[in-house]
Order: sequence, then structure tokens, then C-alpha cells
Amino acid sequence: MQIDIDIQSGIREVLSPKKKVYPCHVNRISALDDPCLRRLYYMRAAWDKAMPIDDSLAGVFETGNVFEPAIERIVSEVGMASTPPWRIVGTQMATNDNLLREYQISGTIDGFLQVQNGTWKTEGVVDIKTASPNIFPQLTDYAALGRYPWTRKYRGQLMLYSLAHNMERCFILFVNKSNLFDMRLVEFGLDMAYCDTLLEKAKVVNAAIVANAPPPQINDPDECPKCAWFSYCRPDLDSKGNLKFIENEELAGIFDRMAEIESAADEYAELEKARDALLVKGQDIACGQWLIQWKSMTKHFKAQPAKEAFDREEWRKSITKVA
Amino acid sequence: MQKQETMYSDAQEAEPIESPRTELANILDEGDPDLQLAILEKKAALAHRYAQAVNAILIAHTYPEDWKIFGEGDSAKACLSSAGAERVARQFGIRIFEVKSTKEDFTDALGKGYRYIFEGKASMADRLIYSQGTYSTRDKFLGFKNDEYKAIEDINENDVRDAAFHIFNGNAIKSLLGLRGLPARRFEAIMKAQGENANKAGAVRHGKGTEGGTTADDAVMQKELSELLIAMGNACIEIKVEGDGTYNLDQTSEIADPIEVAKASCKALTTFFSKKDKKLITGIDSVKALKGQRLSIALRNAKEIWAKHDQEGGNGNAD
Repeated sequence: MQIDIDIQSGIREVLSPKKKVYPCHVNRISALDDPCLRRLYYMRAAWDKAMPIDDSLAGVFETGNVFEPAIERIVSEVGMASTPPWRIVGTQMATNDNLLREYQISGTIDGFLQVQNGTWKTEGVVDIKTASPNIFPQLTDYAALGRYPWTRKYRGQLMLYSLAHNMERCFILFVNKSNLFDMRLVEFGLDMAYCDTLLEKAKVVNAAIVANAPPPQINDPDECPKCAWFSYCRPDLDSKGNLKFIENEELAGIFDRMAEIESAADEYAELEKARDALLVKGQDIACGQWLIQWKSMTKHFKAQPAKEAFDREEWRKSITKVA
Repeated sequence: MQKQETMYSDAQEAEPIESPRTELANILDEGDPDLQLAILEKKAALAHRYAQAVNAILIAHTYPEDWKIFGEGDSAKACLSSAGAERVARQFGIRIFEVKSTKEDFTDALGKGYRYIFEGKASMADRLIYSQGTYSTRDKFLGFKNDEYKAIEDINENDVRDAAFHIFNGNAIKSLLGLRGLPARRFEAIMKAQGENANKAGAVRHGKGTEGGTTADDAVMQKELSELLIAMGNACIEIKVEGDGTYNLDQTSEIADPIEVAKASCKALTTFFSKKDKKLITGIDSVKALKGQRLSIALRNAKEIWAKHDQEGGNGNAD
């Protein structure tokens, strides 16, 4: 007989106290690269109105907390064994900078990266971030940080840390959650123009707090439904779907005909695969009423200059027969 | 189980305001009748294709678990959850705007509670509708645990507010896309046509003429009565009580909130004529406040009224 244990209720019970929210009276440094100024305002003015995070996300955060001491130990060992040796010092230091204080920005950093070349030299601020095994391979450089909403915020976080500590270089040590010995250091410089946009955001939020008037809504159908203040904010939303009914007999005819011969196309592809598996490259044959002859040729490929990583917008279509 | 409870609370349905009569009035009132008729004829010619496209989108963007079947037989309806409706909405150009929310405090037999009410407008192409969504601390998914109602301090108010908002959004989207009160047979046909299994949809069934029972399990009976009254509310049916204590069924407004309709039905159902005092004794509008024999009688009467309504093809007088 199968044992009936409700593990989920246990998980909920354990994670429940971890979801407790606390008042916030400053602009969190790790949140400033947010597309919505109103959300930044709500983080301070309506911190208790946010939807609680779900168990799944709470579990991810808690996993990070559980891993932290183990990662620190591994990082320490790996750092000292590396060539040249490196280490992270001054962990969990609160920022203490007049500029950030003026903008009511606050946060803590994991520390400073020091490298030993004769003497220990501080290279810049560093933060350790864990990543799931699916995401970790993609986080290879600064450009890759732009891929996900949460990794985008890392950029601002590290740059403002640097600004607060008069450093010019930022480092993120990514650690693969499924293998804590799989880690990668991503480095990037301080971008003052970018920092200015973050400081400007903080300034707008500070003014909104004083005036007790939230900044405008962004009304974004991608961003808003995911926001913890969605129902509190009640933005006007346009779903932006664009389904349109058109009269085009030629296009409809193409779809109809393609559907008619689709099974034949599948069969053709299968036969082609089976045929090629039976043929031997370079061996001419006569089979039934068919003659197969091979010809050798050399295809020349020009040398390709190295290409930088780039993003290209692509569209994928799905075609469904509705009748 | 939790999913089922969500759907149960989600199932606050109301029909859109438009009707063939108002469309005809528009034709007569607005501009050239020939042109208006030509537009209508064109709309009629496209209606079938439109329905097919919507069906395909429904299947592609919802899961069977997003659907709930209420009732049985010809009167059974398929209700789409708010989460499913929000996914479907992304395929269309739907605007939701002028949204307002209010919080209402109330006191019932269990003590203090509150509900959030969201209302606002939604539009698609040239069609504009009004929508509403409510959720309270007495709704099961958030307010009920281990066979008893939670104290309001134990319920996160942000969750209640968010649930009401999603119900509001879901109602708006379903109204615009004509997904309210979808007959279950039609739903099954859509699923079948797209090669899906309609049986995966959850079901809240109310049997015809099943025995009322007088067991001591009040919670079970409260749940059954509550679901039955909400199903009636969804079908725009309200129980009314006459001066002599007999019951009638009344058709409600198409945009009436089914929860409010269910509460009014509960009040009527528990109102009775006192032979001793020779007057009507006003009933209670909360199923949760009903206990013991009064609850048992209310449930039995509700089932009889519903069964009679079914037998009469859905249009009869219940008494």
C-alpha cells in the first residue's frame, strides 16, 4: 500500500515564515534597473501591499541561502588554488557613500575581488550569483546579462556598488546550482551614463514619496501581470493581440493545398531518408529502373571574420487548421 | 482540490449586455439601414469562421484543468478559469480600463469578514462591456482550511484582492469573447474537434432530485448548498419567496453578480411563514450561518426547486 504523505503542506509550512515582508524606506540597489518607476515607488510606499511570492520562488531564494556558506567555502578554496590566487574580502558590507545616501539608495555587496600578483590587489566589487543549470551556460559575458529581467538588474546593482566604492570594474561570480564547482567570473566596467539613468530613477521615486503621488503606470501587458502590485496598481491594459480576419482566397488556397499534400510530403521525406541510408557515397549503382551515379566536388568556403554576438528578432509561425 | 476550489470561486459569470434586439435597434437608429444590414450580413457570414478560430485558440491556449463543468445534462455549462481567460486574451486586441476597486467589510455568523470588488470597462474592436469581480474572506480557496473557515487575520489580504482582480479580468475577457455560460455539449464538441479530451475538465455536478439527507455534517451540506446556489446564480436564476412562503424562480439581470444572486436565493430559501406569528420570518443570506435542521431543510428545498426547474426544461415556475 502506498504511503500517503502530504509533503507539499510541509513545504508550505517551512517556507511560510520566509515570505514575511518588512518595511522598506530606501531604494534597494538591486532593484533600481526596473522598467517601472511605480513599482519602485510601491516597494517603499506600499511594501505591505505586494502579493506574497509563491512557494516555488520562495524555494529558489531559500535554496540560495542554504547554498551560501557552502559556496563561500568552495570559492575560498578554489580562489587560493587558482593561478594567480584570488579571494573575496569584506563580505556583506553595507554601502556607505554620500552620493548614494543623497539618492536614498542602499544595499549590501558580497565583497571586493582581490588578486595576488606579488601583493594582494583589489580589482573591483564582486557579487556571487547562483544560476540554474539551464541558465548558467548562457551567462558568459556582459551582453548575456541583458537576456533575463533578473540578470538585467545585476548590471545596475554591481555598477552602483562600484560607484559607491570608487571602483571601476565589476565582477559577478556565477555558480551553477547543480554543481557548485562549476563557476564563471563575468567582468564589466563602470558605465557612468547607465549609472546616471539609475540615479535619475531613484530621484523620481524619492520625489514621488515626498509628494505621496505614485509615478505613472507603464501599462505593459508583458510586465504588469507578473508584478506583485498588479491588482493594487490596476493598470489600464491592452492585450496587444492582433488577430485579424482577412479575405484572401489565394492564401487560403495555398494552405488548403499544402494540407492536402502534407501526408505525401512526410512520406517523401521518410523515403528520402531510407534511400540515403541504403546508398554508399561514391558507389555508382543500377537498381531496378534507376541509375545512381556519384560525382565528387569540392565546395569552397571563404574564411569568416569573427562575428560578435548579436541579437536578431525572429518570428516563428504556428499554423492550425480551424475547421 | 485547491484548483477545484479556485475554479469554484472563479465561476462568477454574467452575460454581455448585447442582444439581437439591441443590435436591431442600432441598425434602425444609426445611419443607412441598407449599409447596416450589409454589415450585419457580412458579420453573419464570418461568424462561423470566427467561432472556429476562437475554438482553435481556446484549445491551444488553455489546459483541460482550466475548465469546470457546472450542472448536468442539457443545462450543464463549461466555465473557463480566469487564468485560462487571461492566456486566451493575449491573442486578441482586448483593452481593460477604468478599473476601480472597493473593499467592503461585513459581519456574518462567523464574525467579521471583507470582500474586494473590482469593476471596470473592457473593449474589443467596437464592443464595450462592463465587468465586475468579487472575492471575499469567506471564499473557499483562501478562506477555508481543515473543514473550517479561517480567521481573517490568517488570510493575506493581498491574496483576496488579487483573486478579485483576476476574477474581474476573467469575467471581462470571457464576456468579450462570448465564453460565458458555454454549454457543456458545445465545449465537448470543440474539444473533440481539436482532438482533445473534454473529460479532463473538472466537474461540479448537482444531481437531479438527489436525497437531501439530514446528516450532522453541516460543512458538507453547506458546501453542497453553496455550490448549488452559485450554479443557479451563474444560470441567471434566483429563488424568490412569496408572501405565503412558497418559492418561485426568477430570471435575474444578465449582468448580476452570481454571488450576490446566490446570497439572495439563500435568504429567500430560508425565509418561512410562521403560522404562530402569521407573518414571514426573514431568512439568512449566508449559507455558512445555516446549521443543523434549518440547513438540511434549505438544502432539500433547493434541490427540489432545481430538479423541478430541470424537469420543466429550465423555464418553469419552481413552486
